[in-house]
Amino acid sequence: MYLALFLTPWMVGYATSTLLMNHQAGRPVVFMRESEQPYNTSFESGTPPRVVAGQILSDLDLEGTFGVAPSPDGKLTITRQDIVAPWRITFYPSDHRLTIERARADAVGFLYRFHRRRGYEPPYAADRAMAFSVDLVIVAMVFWALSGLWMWWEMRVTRLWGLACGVLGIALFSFFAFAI
Amino acid sequence: MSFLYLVRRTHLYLGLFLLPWVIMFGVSSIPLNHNNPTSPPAWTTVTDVPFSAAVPATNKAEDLRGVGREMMNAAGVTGGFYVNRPNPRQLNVHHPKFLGSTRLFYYIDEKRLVAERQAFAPRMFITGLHTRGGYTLGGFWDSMWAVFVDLVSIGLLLWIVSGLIMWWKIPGTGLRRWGWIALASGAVCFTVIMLRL
Repeated sequence: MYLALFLTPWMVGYATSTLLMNHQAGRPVVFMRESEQPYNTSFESGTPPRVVAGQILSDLDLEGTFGVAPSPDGKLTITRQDIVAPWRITFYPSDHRLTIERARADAVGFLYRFHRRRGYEPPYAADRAMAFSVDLVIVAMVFWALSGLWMWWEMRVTRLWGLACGVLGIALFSFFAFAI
Repeated sequence: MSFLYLVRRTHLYLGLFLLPWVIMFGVSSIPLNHNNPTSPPAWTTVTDVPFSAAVPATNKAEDLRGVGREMMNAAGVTGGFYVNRPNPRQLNVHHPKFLGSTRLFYYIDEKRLVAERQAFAPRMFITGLHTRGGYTLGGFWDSMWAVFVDLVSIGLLLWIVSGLIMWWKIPGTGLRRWGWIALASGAVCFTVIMLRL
């Protein structure tokens, strides 16, 4: 019970985001221009795009998990993940210029990003904490299922209908898993 | 029948009915959260036949579904599918299946249809159960699976609400106090993590 109460925000987030994803409610992220500024740091040719992007984010005080997409014309597009409102920074090396854009915060986008955020790869404390919380939710879901089974078995009066519900659920799930 | 009785029984029977999905969504999150690189699954060619169909001059998936269905029929595959056109000379169809998906390639210039079957891979099976959803595939049973995904989501919300009601109805101030502490600390941890992510 206490574990369930502690994990209530996560479970509300996963349930609502699953509903939205199942109905394709997501929309492309709309970025709004925040600022444009000169950027005079020069990089040796051949510097890996991730190194350049990391330096730019560090200079902007925006360190965190990011993706980077270089263009043939030298332009570098950096997407700095932010679960509420992601950033997009574009570096134009020939102009020594940066444009900084931020996504408009919206509930649907937040829930999509929340649902998909996982993994221990990013070296940041918040990402690790999120990944740990995902593991906690996993353990909790299995624990609730097993403890629920035990509590049901302890209530003799519910055994028959409970068994019917359980068998029907297992039969339907097995059919789906093997047939589609 | 009291309100609390109804809440308890709904909580219990819905839980027992949806138990396989709850365990599946929990267990299948493990490979997603611990993403160890694995070799891609093997695909085996099962059909390579002459094929010809009129292809609309568009890249829109909804306009390509008709020819996609023709490709599925020609390859003897039934069920839901995705269709896309990666280049003007090729049309791809993907028919997802938990035990092993099928993909079809229509090489328009060559008037040739190739079907490949994916080998069973436990990891793909488990993560496929987790990620499959939506009503756009077009197959009846695929849509029924999406209904169950909706049902599990609504079930989760009902378990949360009924769980809160059952906690609140437990007599004694100690359990309620500790419950408040658990609820508040969860909300604080969640907020802090979200603001830092």
